[in-house]
Amino acid sequence: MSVPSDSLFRVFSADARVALRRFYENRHERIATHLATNFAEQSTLDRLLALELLEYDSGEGEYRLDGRLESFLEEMLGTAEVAHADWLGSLLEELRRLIEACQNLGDRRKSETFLRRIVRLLRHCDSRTQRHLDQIRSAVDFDYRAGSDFEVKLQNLQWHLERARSYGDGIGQLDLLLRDHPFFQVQQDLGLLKLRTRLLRRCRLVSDALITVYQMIEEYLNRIQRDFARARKLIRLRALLDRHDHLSTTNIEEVAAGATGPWFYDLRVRTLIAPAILDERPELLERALARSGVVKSRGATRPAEIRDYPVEELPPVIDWHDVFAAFNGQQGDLYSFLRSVRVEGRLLTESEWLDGFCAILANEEWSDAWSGTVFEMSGNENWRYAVVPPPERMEA
Amino acid sequence: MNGEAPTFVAVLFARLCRGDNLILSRNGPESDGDLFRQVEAGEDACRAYFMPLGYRLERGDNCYFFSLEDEPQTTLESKLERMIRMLRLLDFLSSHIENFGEGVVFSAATLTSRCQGDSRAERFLQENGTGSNRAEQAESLLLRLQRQGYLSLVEVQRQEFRVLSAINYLFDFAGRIDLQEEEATEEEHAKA
Repeated sequence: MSVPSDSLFRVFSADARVALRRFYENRHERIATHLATNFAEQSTLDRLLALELLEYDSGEGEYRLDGRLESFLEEMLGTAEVAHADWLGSLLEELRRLIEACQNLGDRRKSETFLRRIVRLLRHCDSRTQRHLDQIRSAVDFDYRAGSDFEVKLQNLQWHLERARSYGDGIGQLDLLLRDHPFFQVQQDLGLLKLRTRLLRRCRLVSDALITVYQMIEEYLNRIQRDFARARKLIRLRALLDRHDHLSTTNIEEVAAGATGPWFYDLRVRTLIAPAILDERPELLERALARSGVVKSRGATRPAEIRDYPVEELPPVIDWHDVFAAFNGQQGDLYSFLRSVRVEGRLLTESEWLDGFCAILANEEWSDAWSGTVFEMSGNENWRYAVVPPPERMEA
Repeated sequence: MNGEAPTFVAVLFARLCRGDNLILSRNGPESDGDLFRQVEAGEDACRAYFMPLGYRLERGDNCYFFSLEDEPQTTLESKLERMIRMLRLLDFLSSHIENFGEGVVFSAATLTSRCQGDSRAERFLQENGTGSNRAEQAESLLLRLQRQGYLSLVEVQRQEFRVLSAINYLFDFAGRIDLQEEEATEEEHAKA
């Protein structure tokens, strides 16, 4: 068998490279010690064994690639076979045949040969069960993530589900055989008993892991079906939008009318006003909102008729940025400063300077200058107010 | 106000009412994830706290957001326009990002390369992004979605984004739309 790419084996050191490559090429064959020494010197083989890149079966006197390395190489070289767990079925059949033969034979030597063969099969089974489970898991994950054809994905995942089920059946049969077969009850060989216990534990672990795999596949299947339906709907909607048929053939108008949340917000309320003011002085909040252009809509909207009002009654447009800049350039506190500000040739009205006071104090850009400051309180006959110095004076 | 309000309501209010990112996702940054779990544990108390203030705490699929009880009513035309913009955005992202949905990670470069040669996608980027070329337009579009809380930038160097649970809020609207013209659209789908 030829390896598709030599380049992968360059990751190993030069002396190990040739040996590993030959072991990989002959991975389906039985490699006895004398054959292995043709692949590499004994010292190299020992080193590979120590590095757990090779396995040595002392009973049979055979070498083989470590299961993990073999699956890694197969995966990297694209030769991994994603197939049903037929190997487990045939392995179980062979096991049963060997056990029967072992039980029926009177010759002790022959029966020992069969016993060795059984041990070998069980060892092989131990490493391969875990590997097969990993293969299913990675194949499921890969088929879910790769590609964009929903139907192919669905087909592949359904196939993996079948495959996982048949594998689960096989594991169940193996568990039953090891647990209940009289052959294992009467065997006294310590090695075999240990192996049996290990395999029983492995069967339990694989069964548990398979449940997770089933759940994962079912979740992926559900997700794919949902995504498929979603993508299909969006394609249809796009076609309707392009044809301008969306209003007549969908309920988009109804959905839009009832739509709420951030995507449909027209504005956001942003305020630094203390909750106490919001609770106790609702008229201030109302004025602040009105200043921002937020008013309760009553009835149908209609254009404003400004011709009914004399121009001089229209409120002036005050840029509080300019006012703040002027405030920052003088020494007086905010209250006194606002009382002296003039717009359009007149002093600010009470409502206007109150707005200004709140606007300047509540502005996010400027309020940091007073952060943590405790203001002195002052008052006159009508008002009690905080004495707010200009930020520049505070810094000085 | 209610004296037994959960301790994190101020943080939640600031998170959902300030800036551009107004949706709290379960799979958002660490601070968002923590806050999400807190809100999830005290959801009823939070809802009861914000209700008298005119804020309805809404739960989407793995995300929270506020809807205003007295929400300033935008006109139906404006809402429709936004809805159409949203559908076109979802269609664009679903078509050009593999498995587009909550949790998927993709890079701006992949999106740009997938749009190459697709006149519809290029037109969409031109209309919705800013910049002189496709890459800049895609990047600006993605950064805007990141600011709005639908994506999060997971790898700055490679410009990799993760789709946050907030996207389910948009998908939910698309899911609510019923199509009446089944047969005709079947043909469209077959063509597509």
